[in-house]
Amino acid sequence: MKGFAGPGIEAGSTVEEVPRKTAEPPDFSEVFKHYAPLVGRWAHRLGGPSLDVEDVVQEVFVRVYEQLPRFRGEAKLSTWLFQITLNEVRGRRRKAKVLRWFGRAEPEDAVEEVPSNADSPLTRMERTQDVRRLYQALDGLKEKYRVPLVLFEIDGLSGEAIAELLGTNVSTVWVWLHRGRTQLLERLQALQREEGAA
Amino acid sequence: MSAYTPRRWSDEARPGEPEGEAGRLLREARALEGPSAVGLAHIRQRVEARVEGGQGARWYLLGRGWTKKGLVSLLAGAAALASVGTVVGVAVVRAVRPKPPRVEREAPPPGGPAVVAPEVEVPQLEVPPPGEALVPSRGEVAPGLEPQLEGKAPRQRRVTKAGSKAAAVERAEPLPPLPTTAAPEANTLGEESALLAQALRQQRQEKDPAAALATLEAYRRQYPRGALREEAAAAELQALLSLGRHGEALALLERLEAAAHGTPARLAELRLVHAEVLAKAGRCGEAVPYFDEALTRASAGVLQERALFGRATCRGAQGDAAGQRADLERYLAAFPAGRFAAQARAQLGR
Repeated sequence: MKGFAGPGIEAGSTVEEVPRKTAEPPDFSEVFKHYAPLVGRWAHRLGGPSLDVEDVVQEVFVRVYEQLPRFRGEAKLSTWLFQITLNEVRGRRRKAKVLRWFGRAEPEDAVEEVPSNADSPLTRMERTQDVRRLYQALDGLKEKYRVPLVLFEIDGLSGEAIAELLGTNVSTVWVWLHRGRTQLLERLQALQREEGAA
Repeated sequence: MSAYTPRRWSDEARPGEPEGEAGRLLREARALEGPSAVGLAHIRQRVEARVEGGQGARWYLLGRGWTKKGLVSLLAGAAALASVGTVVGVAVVRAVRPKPPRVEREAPPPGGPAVVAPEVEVPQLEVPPPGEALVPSRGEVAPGLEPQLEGKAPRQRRVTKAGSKAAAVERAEPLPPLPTTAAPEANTLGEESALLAQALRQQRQEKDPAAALATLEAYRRQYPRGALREEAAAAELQALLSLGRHGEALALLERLEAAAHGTPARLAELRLVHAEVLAKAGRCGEAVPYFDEALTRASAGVLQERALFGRATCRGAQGDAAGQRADLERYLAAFPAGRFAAQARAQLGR
């Protein structure tokens, strides 16, 4: 994984686990050290550029702290963390939808800076807009299609790794991915039409 | 291991095809990373402050998500229920009288607490109602067209990161109006939105920043205190930069910065953009202090990353080799796989 010596993801890889020597619950410090960057990246990519990633990571690890003593390794640590992250992101997205429904801005002004290696502010802005446009399209997808799509295309996970994180089998992942990509194309095209008509 | 693996759209360049465009957007999204090492250190401090020995931990023992505010709300709710119980009791007593009052019509005790839910229940809306689009909210005005800085309403910042569950509850409640914005009617928002969308279309699709600027000037005249004025200002900045009118862009940035005092995150980003515009205009001497300030103010990793690398570049341009080297090393220590890591290593001769 980029920038992280612990568990990580390379394209097509699975999520690496920190080896556990005993059946005792893992140490919180170790879990934070090894998994916090991964949780942050999952959150940002699942939630999109508008998410307050730092706040999500904080909430996830507060929960981890509370629940870690009861963690007995029935699931992989990464799977467990992914589910907590996904739940937190899901909650945030739901609240954002409600706020939008009330005609309010997204919480926390929503717009995190989208990184870019562009060398001009203008190009950076355009890339930011591209990513926003993507997430605008992704927002309309059902979660079961959106999540595998994000994990496969953006996070570069293998089908096996995605299946493990989502607690399903690889064939199902491919079906969801296929449907997700089809819907994404439709939504992007619809957005393009709306922009053209505006 | 599954034998079948579909190709990744995001790995392939297929210009002109719908999959190619989707793949390009997905590839762009790979730039979304988690917090920087500095950000993570801050997060860890906040988590520890909440869970270790602090009040937060004790409140949390009451159940997940029960913050102090939640508990206070619960107590208020209990008090309210007690009041209702009293009312019901009175009603029962009165029930033996010839004309019993209807309990549900009893007025609440004057000044008594309202029945308060311990935590805001968020409706489980998956799809916003059809009317949603009729009242565009900030940042949703022109789908996909918003410039980077727009959509940033001045932060309705939570009190602290710690206790953010309570903050989340606060955020779920309707937010107060922006302090300097006249509350616009929905139809005004629609008109503002249409004008802004026109400007953004001129800027992005028609590649006509001069026309976009004219539209934005019309917007400013028409809605000097409009709800979307920040979005308009960001679009104006974009148009000015497209036209190479750096001086005016900088003047606009200064106005935006002056208005952003009190919203540290936004101010940090504006300072950074200011620095980048100055650097692009070849005014590195002036840019460095802005980079410094952005570095001091920014908590988001991506801002830190841009500011560090930008300052390094500027220091290099000024002939400050030691300063450049120090910044590049600091950059690589904080962002070993950052977006500019390869360039930083190359400049350090690694």
